[in-house]
Amino acid sequence: MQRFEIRPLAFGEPRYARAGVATRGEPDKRNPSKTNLPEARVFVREGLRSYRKSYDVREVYWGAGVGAGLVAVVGWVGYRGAHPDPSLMDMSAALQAEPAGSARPLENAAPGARAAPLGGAAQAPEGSVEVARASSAERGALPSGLSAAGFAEGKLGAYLPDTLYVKINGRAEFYLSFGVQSLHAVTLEGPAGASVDIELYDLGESRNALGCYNGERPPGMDSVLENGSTFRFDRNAAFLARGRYYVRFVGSDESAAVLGEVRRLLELFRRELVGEELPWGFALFVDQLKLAPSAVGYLRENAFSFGFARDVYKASLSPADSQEDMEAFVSVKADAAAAERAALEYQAAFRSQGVPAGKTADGLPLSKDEFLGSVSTATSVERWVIGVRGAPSVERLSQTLAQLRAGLRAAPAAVLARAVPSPEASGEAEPRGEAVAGPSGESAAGPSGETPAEPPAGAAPARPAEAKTLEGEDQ
Amino acid sequence: MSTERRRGRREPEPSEPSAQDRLDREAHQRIERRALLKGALGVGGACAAAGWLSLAPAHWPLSLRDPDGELGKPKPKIWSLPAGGFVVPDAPSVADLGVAHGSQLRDMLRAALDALGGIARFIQRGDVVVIKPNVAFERPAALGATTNPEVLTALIELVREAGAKEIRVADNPIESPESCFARSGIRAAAEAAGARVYLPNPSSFALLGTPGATWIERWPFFWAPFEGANKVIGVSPIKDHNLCRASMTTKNWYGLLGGRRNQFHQDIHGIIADLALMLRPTFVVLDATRVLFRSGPTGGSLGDVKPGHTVVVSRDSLAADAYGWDQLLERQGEALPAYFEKSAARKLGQPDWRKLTLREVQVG
Repeated sequence: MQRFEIRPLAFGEPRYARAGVATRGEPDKRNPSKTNLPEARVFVREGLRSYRKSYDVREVYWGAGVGAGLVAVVGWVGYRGAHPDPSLMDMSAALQAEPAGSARPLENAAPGARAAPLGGAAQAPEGSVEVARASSAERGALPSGLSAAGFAEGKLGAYLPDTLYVKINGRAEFYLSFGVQSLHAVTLEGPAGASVDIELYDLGESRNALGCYNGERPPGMDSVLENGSTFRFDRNAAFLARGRYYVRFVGSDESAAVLGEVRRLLELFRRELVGEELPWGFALFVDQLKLAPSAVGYLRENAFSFGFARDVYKASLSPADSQEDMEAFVSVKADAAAAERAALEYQAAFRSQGVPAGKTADGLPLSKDEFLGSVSTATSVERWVIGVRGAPSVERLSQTLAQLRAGLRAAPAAVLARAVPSPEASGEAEPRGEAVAGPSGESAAGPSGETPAEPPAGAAPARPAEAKTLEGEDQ
Repeated sequence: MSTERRRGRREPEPSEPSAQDRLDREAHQRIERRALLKGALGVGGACAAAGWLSLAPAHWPLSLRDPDGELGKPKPKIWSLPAGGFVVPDAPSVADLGVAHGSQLRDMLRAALDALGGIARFIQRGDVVVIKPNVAFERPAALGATTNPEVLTALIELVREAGAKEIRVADNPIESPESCFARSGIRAAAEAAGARVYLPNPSSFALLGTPGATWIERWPFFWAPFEGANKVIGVSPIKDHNLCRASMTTKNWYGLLGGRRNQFHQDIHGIIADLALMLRPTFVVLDATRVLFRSGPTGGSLGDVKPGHTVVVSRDSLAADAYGWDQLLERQGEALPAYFEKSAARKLGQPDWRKLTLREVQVG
């Protein structure tokens, strides 16, 4: 048996030189019967390391160390795989109703950020919006001192448009259509299970607040318009539009204690909330055309189911118990050209819902509803679009259009100055309160004290009840 | 050997490579075509395979691509309700709709159930029964936005008399569940009548599979009360609804969904049709003791509520709802909301209740 010497290599010494390895073309010294075939090394060109017969102890140590490291990595991966972090496997949080946000004041919320119900949500079960009493910074426009007369302030909640559904799922879209910016809700808990829920909606603008208010007003129910507040009572509840706010006071029942508390709260909010002048459209219909406030409404979008129709004030001109459904409407545009284009859009839209029915005396095209027989049209006056929908006759329609024109001419300059398109309707915001020319072509300083126009034909005039005070309402 | 190695270290014998050694080295350095091709193919193939595994679109075979990390997430178990739902077999000579008018709720409910064959047809001794009221809002029951707790009490008592082993009352209001159950009076009524109230918490939800559903084929579901249950009863008020026009027994199942379910309002009729597919109840009770005829589904004013003095019982929730639409919400003549047609297209009920057998009784 051939014996080979094993020794460390000298620096630079070819490893195969001492290994007794046969080279190309010669018989293998270790196995003379075998001819050594040429080897072709492509990637390891330097030497025949695989044939080396010597080793270095350091290599063994390094190899053992690297091997141990690999074994440790494999072991760690295996262990972590077998023992994962329980929180990774816990799907229940993702499956629960709502991701609970961190408690933070509404005022600190980033624009567009998903809002969390206020204070205490972190302690509440996930998905719950149970909230504790919040600090004054979290109350929005809710007045302080709500507790009184045996009714104590309970939990408070605040909601942004993104989270409105948490409070009023299924109803939120109604308020969203009026551009609601926030809802603050609080419950006053009284004796024997009695309670009053207060919902304070911030609609951003008074026209939206009044639009919401009238949108929830049952047909035929009158409102009181007084000192910048529009309100009504409905059995256990009261509803108030003041400035940019719409407030609902919902009593748990009709007991004297609950109703007394509802009245007290209504008065408190009328005092504490910042009022605004009536939106120009309401002022036009109520002050100039002498319509009942409850007959006037505001449609922020999709008026008459026309996708293009936004920022529209309308007034119902038919008694609640009649078969008619006649409405006058008015909208303001940026300029006369825009108003003219909009009027043509209304005419086309009315035509799409009916059939052509000739023209008015002043040449406006009429559209007739095939089933109801009513007529509709629209036109422009300077930068205003005015129109009548569902008139029972051409005469009534023409008469109402004339009254709308007269109302615009007679409107005080201050009212007309407030008539600017909503940013959504115009595509760009216009400065509020800017003095603009009135429909008569006069400057903004219109003829103050001018005789108001007559109420539209057939319209219900303002009733005495409209001017009643709250005390009068009680009687 | 170790002695030799030590000696070798002490006595290195450096030597110069011979001419033959140099020739050998050159020979090894020479590239041969076949070896190169083999090596190149091997390396190229390995690279291509690795590239396929890592870069091929996720839906391609053998792809390991996971751009959104979904493949690495733990896979939750998908639960399913019993095939065919919780329905009981058909019975001859009984009505499809039982309608009872009056003021004695328990008698009304019993009479309406008797029209369908009696409570014993639906509930047997030992049953575990889930009752799903509508507790969606934190409102007193008088405002009509939630199930009348007195109707729930009467229902629980009837079910218990029929021999149910356990009665569970469950709903998942988005607003604070504790407050909703308390102020609506549902919790007190259920517990007083001997039922167990299930309030939702994070661990009570599971992913439910509803094959064929458009929106909720896999969706978080309030599973805990359904664990081991073999009968399900819905009892819902009748309400105007801002989006779907009317909320009744079919829409009531919405309260069993978890997750951000408000997004379904984009297709409210589609989701209600999905709900009809998701849960086939043993029977439903349309609680028309009060009718919230406007400002729904939240209500608020008693002026929006009118007394209905009626309960409707049916195995067919679409039929019960259609009856409610016509006769109780008094919208006869108006087209039914679109979810009726969508549900009927899946053969989940009969929205034309006049084609069914109706038994109407006046109690008291």
